[in-house]
Amino acid sequence: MTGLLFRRFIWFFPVIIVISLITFALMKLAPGGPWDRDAESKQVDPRTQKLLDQRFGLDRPLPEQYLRYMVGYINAKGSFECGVVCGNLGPSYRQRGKNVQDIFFGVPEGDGRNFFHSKFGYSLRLGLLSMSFAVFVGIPMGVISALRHNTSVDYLITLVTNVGVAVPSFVVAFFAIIVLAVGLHLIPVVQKSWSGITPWIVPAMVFGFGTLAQTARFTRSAMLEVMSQEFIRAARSKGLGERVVIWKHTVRNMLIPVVTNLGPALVGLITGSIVIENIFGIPGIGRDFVLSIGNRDYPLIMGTTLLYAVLIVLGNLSVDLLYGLIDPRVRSE
Amino acid sequence: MQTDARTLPAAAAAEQLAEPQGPVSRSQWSLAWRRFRRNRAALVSIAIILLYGLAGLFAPWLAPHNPVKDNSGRDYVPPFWRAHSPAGVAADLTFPLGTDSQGRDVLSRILYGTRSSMVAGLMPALIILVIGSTLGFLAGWAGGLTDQLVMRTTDIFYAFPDVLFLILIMVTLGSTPLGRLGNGLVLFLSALAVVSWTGLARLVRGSALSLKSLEFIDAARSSGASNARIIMRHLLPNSLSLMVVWAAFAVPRLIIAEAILGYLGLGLRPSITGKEFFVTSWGRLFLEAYSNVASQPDFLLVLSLVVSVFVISFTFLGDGLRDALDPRQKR
Amino acid sequence: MKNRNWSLMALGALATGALVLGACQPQVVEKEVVVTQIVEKTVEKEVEKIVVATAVPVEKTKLLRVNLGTYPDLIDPQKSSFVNEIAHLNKFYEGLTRLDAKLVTVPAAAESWAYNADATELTFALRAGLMYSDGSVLNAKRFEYSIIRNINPATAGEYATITNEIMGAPDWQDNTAAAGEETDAAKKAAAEKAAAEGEANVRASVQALGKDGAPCADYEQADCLTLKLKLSKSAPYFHTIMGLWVTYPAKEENIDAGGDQWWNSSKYQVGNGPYVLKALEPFVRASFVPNANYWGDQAMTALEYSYITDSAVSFQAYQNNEFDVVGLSAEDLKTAQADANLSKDINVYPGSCTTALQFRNFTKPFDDAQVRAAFSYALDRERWVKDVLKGLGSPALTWIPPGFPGFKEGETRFAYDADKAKAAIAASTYGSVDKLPPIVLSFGDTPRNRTRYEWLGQRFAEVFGTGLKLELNPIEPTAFTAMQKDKKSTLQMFIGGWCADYPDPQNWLSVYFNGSTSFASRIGFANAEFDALTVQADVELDNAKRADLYQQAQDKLVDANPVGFFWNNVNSYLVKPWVSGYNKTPQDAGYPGDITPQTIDIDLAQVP
Repeated sequence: MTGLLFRRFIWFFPVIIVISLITFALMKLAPGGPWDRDAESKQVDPRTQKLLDQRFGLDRPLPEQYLRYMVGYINAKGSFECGVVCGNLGPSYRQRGKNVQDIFFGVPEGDGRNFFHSKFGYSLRLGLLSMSFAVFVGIPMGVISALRHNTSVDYLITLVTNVGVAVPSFVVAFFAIIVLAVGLHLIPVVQKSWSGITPWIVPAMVFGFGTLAQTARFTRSAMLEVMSQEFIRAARSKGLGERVVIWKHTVRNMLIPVVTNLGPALVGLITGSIVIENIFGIPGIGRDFVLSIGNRDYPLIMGTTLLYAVLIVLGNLSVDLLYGLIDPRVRSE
Repeated sequence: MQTDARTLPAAAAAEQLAEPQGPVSRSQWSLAWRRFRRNRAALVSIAIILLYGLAGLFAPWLAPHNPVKDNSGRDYVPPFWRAHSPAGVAADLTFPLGTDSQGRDVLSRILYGTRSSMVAGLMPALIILVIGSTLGFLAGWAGGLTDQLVMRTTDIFYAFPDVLFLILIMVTLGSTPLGRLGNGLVLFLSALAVVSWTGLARLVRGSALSLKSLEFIDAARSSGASNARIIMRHLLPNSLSLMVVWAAFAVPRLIIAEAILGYLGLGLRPSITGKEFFVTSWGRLFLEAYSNVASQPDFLLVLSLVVSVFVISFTFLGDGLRDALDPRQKR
Repeated sequence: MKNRNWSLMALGALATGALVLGACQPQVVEKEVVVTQIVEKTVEKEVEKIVVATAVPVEKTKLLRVNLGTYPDLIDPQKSSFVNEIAHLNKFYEGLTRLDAKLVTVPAAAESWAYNADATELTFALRAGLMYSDGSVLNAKRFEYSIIRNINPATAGEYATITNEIMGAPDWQDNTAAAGEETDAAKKAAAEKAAAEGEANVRASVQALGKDGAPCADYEQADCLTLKLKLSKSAPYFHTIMGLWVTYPAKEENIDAGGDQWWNSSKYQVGNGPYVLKALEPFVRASFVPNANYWGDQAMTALEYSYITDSAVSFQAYQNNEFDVVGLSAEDLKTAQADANLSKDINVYPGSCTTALQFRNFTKPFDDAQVRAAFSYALDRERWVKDVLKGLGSPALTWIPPGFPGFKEGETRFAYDADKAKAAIAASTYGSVDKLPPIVLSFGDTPRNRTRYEWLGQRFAEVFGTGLKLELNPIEPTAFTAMQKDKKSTLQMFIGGWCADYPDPQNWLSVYFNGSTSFASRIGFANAEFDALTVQADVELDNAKRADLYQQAQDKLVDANPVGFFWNNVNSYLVKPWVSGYNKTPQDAGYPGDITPQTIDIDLAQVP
């Protein structure tokens, strides 16, 4: 295991560097720049554009821009401005005055505001709740589905879990609002506050539905797999009660492949979704992933990508760690 | 939106460990077919999917109207079962499922959308299956440095901003003959596939890893079978059930990804005449129906229903195939 | 077996951890609230004093809840440029002048102003005893700082060039940019010197003066009530520009204290407008209360902005009585009209933009005036407004929109006429439609645009017949904007428009269509007669004569037909029946009547 950790640690840096290089190249190659606004709004005039380019170093050769961003540079006042290596993800071009790390982790003003009220904090809360929903509803559904294999219960569960992935999330979210807020008046259409758990329930359910469906599917299939294996049949033939067999042997074994799925899925959930954020008015970072690209806000593009990359590497690593922990064959690899 | 785009096929990024126990023989194929035939849900599903396929293929003959022809003043006509739409327009049987914001026939548009969306779901899935399973097998089978390299490449592809890549491809190649092929759909879907194979690769690698250690593979190896032969004869068939589960998941995700990327200004080119092969897609229709939901809620409902039936059929088909292909199922 | 137990425990812990973290976090947060409150109590008291002292005792329920849509990226008066940003700034700041409900420039922080004989010098007299919302003195020195901050290339504000009539401003900016670009040491030094001269020139041209006529010493000097501006050319419209957000007097010490992010905190956004920014919760809400220290009428309601960008959700929330004012989209209009209650809440009135089908006058086939004419005639504007805009717009046949000074009523040239369109093609050098080269109609690919261009493409095909080789070319929106700006790009025609910065024909004609501007050169429009007329009108001091010169210029513009004028936008909102007293103007930035928010009232008896 230490070997695995060490190897991954060694690989971590080239992976991050390659991702940053590819992203940098892609965003510079993509036509349009940070001062090209939506065609229907006012554009930055050429003179100001020149000044802005100089201020953000956009007039420099590309390799130099990359190094300035990743390592740092000497600023106009003669002091060293450190780059990504120090955790400085650079100044946003659109949200001027904020550095990218401020956008992610900056705590808004007001009493009692802490990390969980930063944009990343909101996304983290939503992601973890969605994940809990997906896991604690999805796994039992998959188990039941497998136990009642090819019966109407199985079909019903397949049907229900798939409705959530069959249409885009904005449609599911909107129908949820229509039914729960407009029809039944259980929640307001627009949440006034995000403290407590109640306001989060509906968004987390809508957002977690895709992962839930996926978890239920894979649980079902893994469970079927395990159930047909020799040791389960042996346990059954030994006359152990059905319930004991299921809980002691089957569920434990089938959990392994299912849980290993959830690493990347969790990363997907905690980095948010612009659709869910727009519809429910959640101040998360999901929109930054999308809008930064449309806005050609280069540091924010790099920042979101690097954040995501680090989370993915960590997610996959923890999956592999669990994987090795669970399955001895892989551990020896 | 990137969330949805980037997790799409990778949504099935499941390290599902198939643990088959023996080589696949001809009799097993026929066994599988027999098992499949017994699964009624899967049979119904296959019928439904075929029906959708035919509807899409013969859309020009089935559609009552030209799908792009707008009708001034006939906007927001409700479907036949409703007397008035919320916009206050009365039903009109020449438009059985009503009209959209421009007075275009909803039924015709959905029929034409079926055609594009089936391609949008299946074409990238096939490309991904080729790229993803090749790389996954390679990594799992070869192990060592190759495995490390492939898997770290997967990390890279997983994390990198695919929307940027798609923008770049669509803007630079959009006006070339390749970009115009299939009204822009071919280029777009290929580009999408190129950045979406990571989930499947991880999945296949996991499966290859666990297969590698099984006895029958060792036996094949010691009997002098070549690597290629082992992969083709043993690994591939044994990983099939897992690829099927993946595909059942990926196809609907890809269909919806087309909608989400359409929102960002990527994908199918619009049509003036309605004579092109691909005119509109379910994804596009979802965007149109959603922005007009207050005036024409039935459009969104009907569309959701049509797409859900297709997606759920696909899932049932996937389940049926998985069960049928499971080598351990004895019945 | 041991391993397995271990791992199961780990998994269990992970899962429970996720749940606990996710579920319980908010409660943990609330506990911490108590802790921090105790710690901060002493600090809070000070803040409280200030806020309570300035807030007018308004009944708590008199609150105007507006859904503003997109959250602003930036709320800095000298850097902002978007409407949603200005909708914030103009609540808690005020310029030297402002617009009234009829878009007439009226005194605001300045009591009066006067030009010298040739309108190259503008002198403002500020109101005596002006205060910021925190009670501190607001004198002319504050405006001097703001105006110079706007020009200063170090600020790199996006609207910096709007004050370029001030002597030295362009020199300061251009030479600073040149110095940054220059690699040759000697040339760089020369540019730097020129920039320094420009700066000195600006500083001499923007001067706050005391009673004695001497430059003011500091921000405390109470008799510092005169602001003198020297302009590089006659600019009789300049007092209107001095009401724009770029002149809003944000406090220098707050900008310094808050650093680059100063604008992100209500603590530093201390202003002189009718409202005080009480709290700013990014992407969720901004709360405003009336400013008791405002010189004029007090606002009657508190104000709250929300930021729901999804119009379908916002429409539902309005119907659920969660907002008092929301924007009304074309897609929802018909439904609102069909509803007995909602139909009474609809407010549709002229906006401040004109949109046109723009031809690249230097590309084939649009270098031929007859082809341009043909496509202008082929625009069925009435049907566009009816079918596509659903009535949220009005057909346009000229440049300056209705409601703005300079609007020409009764313009009919190039109105829709399919026969004239075909005749124009026949009269062109091409002779017939099928001899026209392929025409590509490019657009920024958004779902809304797609529907619009599909509609437009079909109309052209109908008018010109099947011989027309027309293709729709969707481009990712930002890439499209870049192509639009780039003269070398392959665009042939596209739809684009202009919205008024301030109500003066100069902002429409000289700023957009004068051959020297980036806009006109982008489409290759250069008309000597038009240019001469605008140049002459810009410096004309006689108002009637000036208006006439602009009218002649606009006439020439319509005649030359460099673009096909298409439609004027409208502002469209739903406003609850209990909201009253709003003055609808084309320049509204956030909600109806938001440039004169003091007249808006809420009838509490009607609020459910």
